[in-house]
Amino acid sequence: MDAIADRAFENVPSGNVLKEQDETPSLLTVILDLNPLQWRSLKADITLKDISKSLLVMLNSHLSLNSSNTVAVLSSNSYKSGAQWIYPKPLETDDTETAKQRSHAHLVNPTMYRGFRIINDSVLEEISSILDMEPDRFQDIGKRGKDDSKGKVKGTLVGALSMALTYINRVQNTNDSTSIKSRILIVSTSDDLTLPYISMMNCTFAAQKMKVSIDVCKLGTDSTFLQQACDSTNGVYMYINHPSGLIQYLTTALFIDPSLRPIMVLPTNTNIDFRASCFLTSKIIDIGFVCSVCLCILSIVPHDEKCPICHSQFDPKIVKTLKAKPRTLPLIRKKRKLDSGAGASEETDTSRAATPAK
Amino acid sequence: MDSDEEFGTSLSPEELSDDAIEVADDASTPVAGISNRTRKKTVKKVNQVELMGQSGGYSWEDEYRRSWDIVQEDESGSIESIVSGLVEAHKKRLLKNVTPFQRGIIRTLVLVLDFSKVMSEKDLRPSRASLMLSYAIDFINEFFDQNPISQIGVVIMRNGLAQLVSEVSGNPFDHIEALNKLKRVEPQGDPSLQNALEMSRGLLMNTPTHSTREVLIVFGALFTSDPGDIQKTITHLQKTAIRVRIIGLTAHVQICNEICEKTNFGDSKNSYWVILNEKHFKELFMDAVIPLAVAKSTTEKFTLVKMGFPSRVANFGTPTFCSCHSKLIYGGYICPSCKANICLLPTICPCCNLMLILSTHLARSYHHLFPLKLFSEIPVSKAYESTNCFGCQKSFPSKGVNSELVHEAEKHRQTADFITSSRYRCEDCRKDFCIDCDVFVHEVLHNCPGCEADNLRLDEE
Ligand SMILES: [Zn+2]
Ligand SMILES: [Zn+2]
Ligand SMILES: [Zn+2]
Ligand SMILES: [Zn+2]
Ligand SMILES: [Zn+2]
Repeated sequence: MDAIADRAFENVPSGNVLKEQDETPSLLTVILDLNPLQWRSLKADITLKDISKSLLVMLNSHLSLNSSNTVAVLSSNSYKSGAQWIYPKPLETDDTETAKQRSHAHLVNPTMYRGFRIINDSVLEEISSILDMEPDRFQDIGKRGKDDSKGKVKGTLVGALSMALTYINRVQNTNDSTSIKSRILIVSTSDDLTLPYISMMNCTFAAQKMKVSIDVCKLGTDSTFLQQACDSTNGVYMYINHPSGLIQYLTTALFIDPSLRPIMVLPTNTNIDFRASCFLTSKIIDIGFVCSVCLCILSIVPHDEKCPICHSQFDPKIVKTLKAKPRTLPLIRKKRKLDSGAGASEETDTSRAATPAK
Repeated sequence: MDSDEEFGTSLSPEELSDDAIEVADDASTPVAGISNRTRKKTVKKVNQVELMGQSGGYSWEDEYRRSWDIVQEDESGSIESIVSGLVEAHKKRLLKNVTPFQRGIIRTLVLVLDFSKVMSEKDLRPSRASLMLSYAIDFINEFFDQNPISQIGVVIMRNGLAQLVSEVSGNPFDHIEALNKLKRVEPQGDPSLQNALEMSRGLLMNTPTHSTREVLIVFGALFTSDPGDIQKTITHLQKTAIRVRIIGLTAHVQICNEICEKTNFGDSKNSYWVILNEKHFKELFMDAVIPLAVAKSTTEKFTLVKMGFPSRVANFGTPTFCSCHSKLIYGGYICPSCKANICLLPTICPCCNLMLILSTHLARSYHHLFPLKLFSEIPVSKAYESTNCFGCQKSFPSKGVNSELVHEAEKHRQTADFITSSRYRCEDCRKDFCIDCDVFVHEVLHNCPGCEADNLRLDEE
């Protein structure tokens, strides 16, 4: 499969992989999807409390691998303030901060190793403060007269991903003396409909350029966009069948450093749906027409011969050739007429692809 | 016939100093969305006054100012704000014009490299030829990264001839391999623009109508030794709608100017450049990565292109030969129309001639079509709303600048330039970003983290 792997990752030296690995510190960025509606639908299988526990175990073990390893955590949420940082959090001189700390102090054992405690504390604090604010936000949306039925809820995963990439960009640029590896883990519950396609792809390509792997731990419904993101950044995509065993997934398959992946057999699936969907009919197609100006994908030639997205007028000559039915030799036709069944079905097949819908 | 009419170096002294280059850049109005400019100029209008130094004369008549003269303490005796301003001013931010243009996204480009004797000169380090080759490799990588469904061919000018180094194809590895082999070739003889252009014309002749036809020439010499009348070649180029762009390494040459002017609808400003230094050379090279705006004057017709979106099969169980290279592979992509097995995308199916791509390849070009709006610099004030960069969480210099300091600084014009708020705001989501994030977001990411993180925007639309 090497030949199909993306070129950005092809020139990873494979010979002395093991030697180089040991000492380079690595930054693990976790993006946690905190969409309350989705979590509600998963209630039977896993709760947010379970997943934060498992995540903390993973973060702590990442930190213990190398003393210079660092972590960052972001949340994405469709209702509260969208995507936001959980750790590291900018310093706030707020009185409420200390109050919050006290109320959750019992969640973390005070005698825990300090490096772990600070992270565990602030992650739990932030998650619960986000959840505390959730009811307010619902009301807020209600007051503004905007509810889910009206507009599609926009997922903010891309926002969190963009923020994570800017952070990684900063870390990589400031630490130029000691190189640092970075990867991103997305724990996602939302489905594709909430993801803006173009922005998601922009993030994927940026990550690919920066050689940052995107791993996905998917709960709920499967996601094609995230599969594509993983595939092009050499990441692991895992659909979690048994959410109760999440910690197992997180500390095994999703824990392997990207540089070790060429020599590991990963449980990632390689059959990714790369087919495109038509911009007009949203039908999934494998042969389509692409506007040479705006690159929109169409399953049919629009009948006004104008691009529906950018309104460019297409060259009538070329449209004509595209619309033309395949020419068949008359001799063959005569033969076909005899056994009409096979011939007719074949012809409708080809004409369907080329004629515009009414 | 030699057409070696050359202009001497037409650089005026102002263009020799680094600062003044920006001024000169800006004076030419951005045409066709491919001109670059610096952030500074989008904020402060350049007029004749700015060209003048403190003494009222031109800036080169001024006394030389040492950088430590610019640095002055603020009221608390700290020089931090000025120093950070200086650092930011040095991060020259090249920004694209963001007005969406119709661009020719599907491109065919012939890269013509000068390999005549002058290229062995060492005014560029380590030598002109090797610097050109290493930039050309970077260019090809970047080109295919951003234009995955485009094609390139490489031609060199050597010994008065044009030699084909690498056939027109969409595979970057072939080109890079060919360029690496060129590293061992000594530059020799005279260059011939006519031969190179005729060869490029031959290569571009059969490209489909939906593709652009472009030639990019790196020209080190000041003359061209041609076998015939280059004017005829230019007419042929015009007829076949080939657009030629030239990067000169030494000085303006009239014939280059003419070629560019005639093949770019009278616009030689955005198609013929002469480099100022190594960095500028690289920038010019990288500019060619961005697809050309479709010229309004052309009667070019837009087309639909039939494309196949093959699905990938991980493993057939046994290795099979791919139909493109006859290589043994496990799995591969299956052409949707003829079911041939393909190992590498994007490509044109060797069996049925259908263009095969992944939808992700198309997505790579979308940012050319939907560019991200520029952020605006927040004016210097006493207090700011934001304390941290919204993207990377870097804390901004918190202290607002005292108006007295600004006033004081304005007396020394240059110092005032270096006092910044360090905050750059997206007008849509009103989030503030640091300069590093601003550059990163516009050059690599093409998303505004603030807009994407905001959950209510979609509802409001
Ligand atoms: Zn279009
Ligand atoms: Zn092949
Ligand atoms: Zn085929
Ligand atoms: Zn920043
Ligand atoms: Zn924004």
